[in-house]
This record gives sequence, C-alpha cells and structure tokens, in this order.
Amino acid sequence: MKNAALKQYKKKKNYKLLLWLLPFLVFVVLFSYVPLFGWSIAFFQYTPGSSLSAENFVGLKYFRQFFMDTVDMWRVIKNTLIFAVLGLVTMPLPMIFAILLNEVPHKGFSKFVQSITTFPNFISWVIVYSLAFSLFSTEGVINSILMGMGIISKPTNVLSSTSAVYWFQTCLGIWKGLGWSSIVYLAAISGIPQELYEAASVDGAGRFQQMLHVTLPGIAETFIVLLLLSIGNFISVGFDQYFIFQNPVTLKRLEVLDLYVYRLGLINKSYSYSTAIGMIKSLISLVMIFGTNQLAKKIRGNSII
Amino acid sequence: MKKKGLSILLASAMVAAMLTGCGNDGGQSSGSSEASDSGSAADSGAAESEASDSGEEASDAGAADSGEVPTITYAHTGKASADMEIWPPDFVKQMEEDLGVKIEVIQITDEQFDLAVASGDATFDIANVTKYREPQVLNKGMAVCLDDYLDIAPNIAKFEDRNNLVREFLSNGDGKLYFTRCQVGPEFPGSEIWSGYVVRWDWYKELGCPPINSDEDYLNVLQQMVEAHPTNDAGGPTYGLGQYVGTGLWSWNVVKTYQLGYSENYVPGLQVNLATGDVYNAYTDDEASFWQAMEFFNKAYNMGLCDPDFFIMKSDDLNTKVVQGTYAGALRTWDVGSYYSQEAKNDPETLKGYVSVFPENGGMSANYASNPIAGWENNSLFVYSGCKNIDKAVQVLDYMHNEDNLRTYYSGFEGVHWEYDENNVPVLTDAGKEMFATGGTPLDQAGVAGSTTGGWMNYLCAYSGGVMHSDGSMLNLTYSPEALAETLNPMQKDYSAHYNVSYPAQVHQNQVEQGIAKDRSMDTKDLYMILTQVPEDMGTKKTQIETLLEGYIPDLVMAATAEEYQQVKEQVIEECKAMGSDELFAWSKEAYDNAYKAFTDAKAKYGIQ
Repeated sequence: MKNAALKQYKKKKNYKLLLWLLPFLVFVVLFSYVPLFGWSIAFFQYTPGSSLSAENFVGLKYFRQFFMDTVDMWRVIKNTLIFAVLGLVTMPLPMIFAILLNEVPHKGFSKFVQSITTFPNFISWVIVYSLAFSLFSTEGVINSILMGMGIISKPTNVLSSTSAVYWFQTCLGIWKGLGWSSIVYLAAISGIPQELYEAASVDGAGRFQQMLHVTLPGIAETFIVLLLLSIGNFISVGFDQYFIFQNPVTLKRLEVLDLYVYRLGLINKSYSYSTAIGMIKSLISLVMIFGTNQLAKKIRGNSII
Repeated sequence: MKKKGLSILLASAMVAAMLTGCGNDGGQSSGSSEASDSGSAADSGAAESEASDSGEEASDAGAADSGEVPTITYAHTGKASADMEIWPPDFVKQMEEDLGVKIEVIQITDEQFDLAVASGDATFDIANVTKYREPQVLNKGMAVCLDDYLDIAPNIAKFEDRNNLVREFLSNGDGKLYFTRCQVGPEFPGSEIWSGYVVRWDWYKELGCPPINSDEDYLNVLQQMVEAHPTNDAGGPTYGLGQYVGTGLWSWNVVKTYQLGYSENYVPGLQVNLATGDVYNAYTDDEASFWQAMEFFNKAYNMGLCDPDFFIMKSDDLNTKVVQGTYAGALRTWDVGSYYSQEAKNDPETLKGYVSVFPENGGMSANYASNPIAGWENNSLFVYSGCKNIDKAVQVLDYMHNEDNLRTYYSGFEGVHWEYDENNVPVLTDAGKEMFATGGTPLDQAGVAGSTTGGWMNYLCAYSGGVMHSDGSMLNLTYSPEALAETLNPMQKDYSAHYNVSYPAQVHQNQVEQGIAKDRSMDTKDLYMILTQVPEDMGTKKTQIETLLEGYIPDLVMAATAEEYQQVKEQVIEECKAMGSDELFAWSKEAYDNAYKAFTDAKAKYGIQ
C-alpha cells in the first residue's frame, strides 16, 4: 500500500517535471517543425503574395531541375565538396591547437594566445575582406615587404588567383575559427582527471606521451561528436565568406551551394527552386549524420544518436 | 498543491508568452476595415487582415479620439537613406504641418518587401515597390484603390496620362488605379554628365586637351597622362582606370550602354539601340554593350592602363585609391568624385578632379532626357490597405503631386532660397545658390532635393525637376542655365570656359541640338511597366548566362592578343548558346514587341502624345 502511494507520488512528480518541458517543446515545434510546412512551396510555382492554392502545382519539377542542371550544378557541387572535404581535413587543427595550448606552462601567455586567436571569430567577413585586401592586394603590405626584400620582382595577387582559391579560403577560415573552435577542446581537456597525468608520469611517460596517451583519448569523444555534427552539415559550407570574396576571377571556384541558392533563389526570385535545394540539402545531411553515426557505432562500439 | 498550481501557472504563462510573441503584430495593419471599404485589390486579402487585426480597432479609435497626430510611415526600397540625426528636416516639417501628420521613413530591401508581401502584413503605410512586384502586391490585396480617394487627392487626379497607363497595365486587369509613379517628365542632366570619356582635368589640360574622338584616342590620352604622372599623391603608382566589382555585369556594361545609346535591361538578354530601334542579343551580338565594353577593356589592359587590382576591388577599395589621386581617367565621374571634394578642402580653386569629355565630332550618347509618361521605371508607389489612416496616407502622396510643393522640394523655400524677380520670373536667391552649391548641413536641414535628409523623397516626387511649373519656369530652379553657371565649382568653370559653354553638360546638349549626338529622349522607359513578369525559366537562363559571362571577363580582358581574345569570345558565345541565350532572346524579343505594341495601342486609346 505504501509502495503504491510512493509510486503514485513519484508519477505525479514526474508529470510536474514534464510540464516544465512543455514551453521548450512548444518552442521547438513552433520554430523547427511548423516552418517545415514552408517546404510545400517546393512543389508549386510560388510567387510571394499568392496563396499556394492559387499557384500551379508542379510536383517534383524543381527537384528534377536540380539534378538535370548540368550547366552549373556539377561545378557548384564540386566546389562545395572541395570546401567541405578541406573543412574535414583541417578539422583536427583546433584540437591540436588546444592540446598544444594546454601544454604551455605560462598560463598568462596561454590565455593571451587563446584570446588573440579567438578574436578573429568575431570579425565579420566584410572586415576580413578589407584586411585581406590591405595585406594581399598588389600594393598591399605583403607585396610591399616581399618586393622590398627583393624576394619577388613582380607583385603577386592571391585574391585574384584561381589556383590559390581553395587553399587561400580554407586558410582564411582556419585563421578566423581556430581559436573559437578550440574552446570546446580546452573545456574537454580541463575535464580529464589530473590523476591520469600523475599516473602516466609515474609510469615514466614524458609530456608528448602524456599528450598522446592521456589527453588525446580524453578528448576523442568530443572530437567524434563534433565530427559527426560537421558531417551533418557537410554540404553547408557557408555563404558569407564566399559571397564577400567572389570576384570575376574566383567566381567559378567560389560558387558553393549556398551562394548558388542565393543567386537563383533570391536574386532570380526562384523561391520554389531554392526551397527544393534546401530540402535536398536537409535530406543529404540526415543521411550523412545517421550514416556516420552507424559507422562510429561499428568502429567504436557505441553511437551518439 | 500550491507548488503544483504555480508550476502549471508558470508553464502556461511561458507557452502563452511564446504564442503571443509569434502572433500577428498587427500594429500597422489594424484599421483594415477601412481597407476593405476602400476597395483594395483583392477582397480576400483585406478580409484576412481585417479578421486578424480587429483587436486593434479599439486602441486606434482611442488614438483618434485623443486627437493624436497620425504617423504615416513610408518605406522605400531605393538606395537613398534618410539622415535621422536631422529629423524632421524643414521640408518634412512643412508637410507635417500642412497635412497634420507625422512622417516616418524606413528603408527596406527587396527581400524584406517580399517577406511583407508573403505574410500580407507590413510595417508601412506607403511603400515604393520595384519592378515586377506590382502583381504580387495586387494579388495579396495590399494596395488601396486610389480611384476611391481622388476627391481628396486632386493633384494625383491631374496626372491623367500616367494614371491611365497605370490603370491599363498595373491593375491586374480591373482597370483601377492602385499605384502612382514618380519622376514623370524629362530627365535633366544637371551640370555635368557622368558617362563620357572621363579624364582628370588638370592632367588633361597639361596635355593641351587633345581631342578624344574614339576609344583609342581616349586610351592614348590616359597613357600619356600616366607617363607624365607615374606616381600618385601617396607615392604609389598611377593607372589609367580603376574598376570595382560586386555588381555582376553592371559595372562593366553600364558606360558603353549609355555611350552607345542603348536601352538598359527592358527585358533580360535584349538591348535596343534607342536611336535606330535595332534590337540586339545582349549576350552574343557584337554590337551589344557587353562585347563593346570587353573590347575596350582588353585594349586598356594590354596598354597597361588597368589597375592590377581591377578584378578584386570593392567600391571602398577603389575609393581609397581614388583619394590618393591614383587614376588618370575613370569609367564614371561618380566613381572618382571624392578626389575633387578632398582636394577642394585644401585648395578651393583646385582643378584636380574629373570631367567627362565628348568626341568633338559627336556620335556619343549620354544619360539624360528620357521623358517617361508614367515615371521612373523601377518604382511604383502604393498605400498599404492595412494603413490606419488611408486618407492621410493618400494626402501625403497627393502632396508630392502638387507643383508648388515640388518647387519647394526641388528649389527650396520661396522667400528664402528663391523668389520672383521684377519680371515675375522665379530665381534662386544668394542663400539658395549657396545652399545648393555647397550642400552640407544647411541643405540637410532644409531636407530638399540633393540632401541626405530628403534625397529619398525623389521617389515620392510625381514630376521630375525638369518639368515646367505653371509660372513658366522649371520646378527645379537649379536647372536653369544661369543657376547652373552660378553654382559651378572652379574646375567646372574652367572646363566650361575651355569649351565655351555655360556649364559642362551643355557640351553634349549642344551636340544633340546640332544633331551629331543623341540623348535618351527616345528611351521608352514606360515599357517597363508592361514587361512586369519574366518567366522563371527565362530568369534562370539570364542568371546562369550572366554568371558565365562575369566569370569570363578576366579571360577576355587579359587576352594578350587579338587572336586569343577572339578565341575566348567564340568559346563564351558558344557556351552562352548552349545555356539557351537564343531561346532567351527569342522570348525577350517577342515580349518586347508585344509590350511595344501594347504601349502604342494604349497611347492611342487614351490620346497620349
């Protein structure tokens, strides 16, 4: 009898706790699920201002258009994949940076480095472009120095070089995001029990071996989670950076999927087409995130989702 | 129990707060019963907003009863911005007093406007909508039918020709007046023209002002100037020409479009020679301004006249070099205007600045004198059907249709900035001349044409400044040859003296009078309102082709030899055709022909000359 009453009490208490969840559930439904009804415009020839019932139903026309667009699409997909792969390849850099930063004995210097590397994250891409122009343009600082030192005889211009587009933009992305992205790893490192380092030290491990056998495994879980999330966003490589840095020389290589959607969807007002591309992107992201999760499960024995 | 109740209460409150926050603000759309009464374009749209906003009625009525001055918010999608530090300026104050309203101005992008249309809920009372968007406004029932208000808007009613064309082509077929359009009448060039061969005047004078009769002459002159002045004011190298990117093909095409006297984008992929009526495929025909421009830039590049940063500069980067005196010439005078302004601060008599030079034997067109019956092609004004006080909003529009108010807007306040002389001819006073010549705070305080506080009102002005007031003078008194001559800066005076004219633009105007050059009086800008919709597939082709062309610009400009240039050109044209440039042109040509015929028929129908 007493047990039953206790059970009843716990159940009531659980309901009460669930009730606290309600506002957030409503929030998610309102802002994440209700907007999904907007996907319906991908199946209509939609113009703003008209109701869907008054628009032509075109079925999968815009999805077909995406796959049949041999003119632009493959170039755009190629650019997107190149930047996405470069993003994945350089993904360990913040982790490595965090590990190295953690090894700096002088905490003041470590904080200083962390602050100055985090700062670029808060600079808009417009400002980054201005900085890049001041540094890398024909009469920019870099050319002036190199020519002054006699290293080059003619100015180089990395901003209008087709061969430098991919690596230059990737480097800019790293410069901007390295410090910021390393924060989560620094937090993970601080969570590794100090005893493990002490035990490793007792066992004769040097600093490099401690890094390799204590720190790295300690933050591997974090890396996998972030890797999984970034694979989920694999084809969403961004917009601002490529939009700001594109010029007639780099146009063909900087046009990524988001820029393409902007150009055709917003500028050309093909809202239905851009919605269809958005849906395809979401679908690909879903497949990739679950695929990677399964892969991680097979390799590591446990999954995240 | 208490706790449980509190939990439920708090959770409910949070949910309610969220739902309320997401609900229709309705602040601007209350009073929609007025809208439906006033005959907005689509009753359903008005009915929707009526239903959603009924809760606001009481508070509105309260505001009206309390004698509160209604606020009319004008949203404009133009590029001019209002300086809110001096607000309201005198002209707006005058309007507010005359009409018993408060005026607010907000700037919205096309995308924000599309969002407002999509939701059917706007935060403005009056808006100007850019081309192609009028049908959306009408479909959503967002525009008040102005025909129902013409008794309180007698000045709008006077614009019969414009109104009839708008009723004919911008009413979704019901023949009612939903839009007004601004700047009806001839476009005046002002004191100078931006689209000739732009040279740095002091350097050009040093060379003895050699005649420039062709692109080759121009480039040779630039080369001589660069050779004579190899370093700029900051000690860096000088160049013949600078360019900025980020505007698609526009910044490459625009000068040749105006120099050759072509239409500017009536329809995608088609250009019309305004003088001859010849029609060109804008992407593949040799005569098209794109290819003419590419030839010019290729020559300039191979002569070493282009800034090495030609393809990467944004307008700010270009301006940084401009103020260092880097360039011997320019593509447009406005690109390099900041140099004179800066130099004039140090030396008010300076001749360091840029002017447009025209071929002595004529043959070059320039950008002025278009004379649209229905006003600017890219702006249609409407009163939002959800406006709380439609009468007042209509009166605001009407105010800017009145010739006396427009005289004030263009020429300043009577008795202060202009007055009637002994012959009863309106002339600028010294204070007026001073204000329009020097600009700055006095002009901004007045809030009239050319000020940062009132420049946006160009979009509301029904007449252009070149239209005659009933007193026999132009609305814009700064346009008179005497006024222009008196408001020139020393460099413009020097230029005018050299060419023996009263003001710089007169060089070209004289050539037009002699019949050796063309202005844009043949530009049938009114066609824009007939060509309102581009089918999505054609729009896609246009975007794809223009992106392709933009990507090939560096290859074309930097082609080292004529053969290499020709090779790239052939490849580009081939790719354009593969993308459907011929189909796009066929559609555009048909659309243009149909529009032209519809326009001609409408003019005949309404007896418009």
